Amino acid sequence: MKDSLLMQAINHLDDAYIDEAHPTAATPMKALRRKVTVKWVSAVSGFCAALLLVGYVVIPYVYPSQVLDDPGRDPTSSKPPSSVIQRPVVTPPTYDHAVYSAEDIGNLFSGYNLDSIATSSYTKIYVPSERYLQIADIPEDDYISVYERKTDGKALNQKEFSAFTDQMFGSVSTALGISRLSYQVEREDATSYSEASLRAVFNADAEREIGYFFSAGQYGTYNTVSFSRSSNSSRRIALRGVPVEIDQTKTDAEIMASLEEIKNILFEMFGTRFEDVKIVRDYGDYTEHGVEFMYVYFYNAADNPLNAYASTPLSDYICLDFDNFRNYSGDIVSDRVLYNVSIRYRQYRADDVYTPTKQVRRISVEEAERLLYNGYVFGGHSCPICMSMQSEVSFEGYDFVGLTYVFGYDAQGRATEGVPFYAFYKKIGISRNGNLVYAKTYVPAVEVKGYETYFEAQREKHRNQVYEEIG
Amino acid sequence: MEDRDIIALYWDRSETAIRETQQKYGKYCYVIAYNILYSHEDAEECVNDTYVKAWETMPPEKPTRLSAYLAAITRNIALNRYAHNHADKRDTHLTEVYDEAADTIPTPEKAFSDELILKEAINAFVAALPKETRIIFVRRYWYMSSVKDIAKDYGLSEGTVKSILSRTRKRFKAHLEKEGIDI
Repeated sequence: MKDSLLMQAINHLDDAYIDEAHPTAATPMKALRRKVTVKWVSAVSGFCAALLLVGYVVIPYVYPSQVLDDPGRDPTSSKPPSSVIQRPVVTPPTYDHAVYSAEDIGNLFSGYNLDSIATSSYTKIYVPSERYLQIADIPEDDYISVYERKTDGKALNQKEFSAFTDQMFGSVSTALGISRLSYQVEREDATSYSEASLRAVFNADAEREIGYFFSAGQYGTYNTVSFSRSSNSSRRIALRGVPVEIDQTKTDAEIMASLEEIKNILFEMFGTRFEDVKIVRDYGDYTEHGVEFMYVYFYNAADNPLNAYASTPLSDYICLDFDNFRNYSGDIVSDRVLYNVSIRYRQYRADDVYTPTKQVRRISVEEAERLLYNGYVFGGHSCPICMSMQSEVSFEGYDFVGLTYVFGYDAQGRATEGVPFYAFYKKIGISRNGNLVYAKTYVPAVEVKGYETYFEAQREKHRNQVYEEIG
Repeated sequence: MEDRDIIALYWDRSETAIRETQQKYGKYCYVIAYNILYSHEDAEECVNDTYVKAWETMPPEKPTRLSAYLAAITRNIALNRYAHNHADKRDTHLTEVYDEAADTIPTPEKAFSDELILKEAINAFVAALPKETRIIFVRRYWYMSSVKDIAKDYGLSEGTVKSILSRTRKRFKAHLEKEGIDI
């Protein structure tokens, strides 16, 4: 291939222009030109919202999505189903006086691209058993809270941070049986994309020498400390001589029992106690192997009402973050005992990070079903390639429904409003390694007006466009 | 999860960072890789390699835009894999992109070595372009999208896209000359 100054120069393009032109942020230009400038800016100033839909769902459980391994479908096929969610004939409910419009709801999934936020697709979830779906109960109350995140928190405080870091690493070093490493505190100023923070910077050579990696930081909303074996060390972490490990083949109850001694050491080490334990199993994008990550959270469920819906607690917690992932998806370390662990403690500095801002009527599950059957769903994939590889699914006779929260993000990537959704699950098969495969999709659990108009306007984005066959 | 939190996880050496990256940007990177490689398997591997590279580079890197940072990694890996896969072949879809770029703006016989000047030149140039033109230009020469795909995605005819690209290349050539970059 001929080289040129153009191809040489284009490698130095600024990030903003790369984001702006991401293929799945594409919106027909003729249509855009007819609209006001603001619309154009909104529609294309960001990056691939379509592909980020699942990523923007911050509150739901974090089981992996998968749409790319459908065995019978060629990714370059030009013959996808016209809609991947089958639609029985039912009349959708209408809410002319609703607080939210369908566009508002769509915007939750993307602060960037107004044309790629609703979907006619679903997300695949792999679990060894339905009990690992961790579906949150639907409240009985007729009204339900909408949340907003307060992002400011407290001013950074170096004295507080140093005291926190000294205390934490003092006890951590004792538990590990090593000398305490010195560190320097560095301040990082806020940017348009990240808030200001203080960080403890340890000497990398000293860390390598003792075989551990330490980290501590302070943000407006929380202090955090973590440690793990450094990448050059093959030794396992033991606290006061007790190895930190879990057997992924055991049930959650068995795992919790096996961690009892470690739990007490952790509580003493971090000077805190928690009443509840949550285990999250994360299977990779492919199904030929076991768990890729497992997380054990010690926390207080009652500390934040959103904890009932979140995979990661939104209040103080200690996390054992077990990794079964070598270099890439499927390259697992063990199909049984996991010992490669990062231990983290997060201590919130602000109580009001997520605050209920209003109460709205919760629609019934029956109303949500009628929306579901009309294809008024959000949060799945809307990338043409991804969608083209999905098989058609009928959610009639779905297996489970639960409540979850979806937080939107603004153009600076900061969380905005969190709105409740129903998450519907339909079992669609069994993977080759025996995991159950579920299709999952979301319907707002609150009244929303203008579905028909909005989805009609979005239609072209929801017809599972595909790239034409490559010849 | 917000980008700053994902970056913090990388800095904390928590491999949750990879999971979060995978969830938020997996498909985003996939599209970039697939656009270059036209192979599902290769694109998947390329995306997985992107996570490894991100893990290796953060810290010390702390990107201001995680999406673009990952995009650049994915693109480089995909281009390398593409070059490896097509080492002995001509007439591939990327050849067309490179050739059309070179036909207008060849590389000087002596390699242009001042990357900083080049960076300033390209960014000043695209900043001054109308937004639609800029997007089409970046889609073609950064994302390596085919003219057909660009036309389809933006509701334009292929002829219009080719015409916009041709005019923009000529303007870029003039811009380089104006900046005193010898062609």
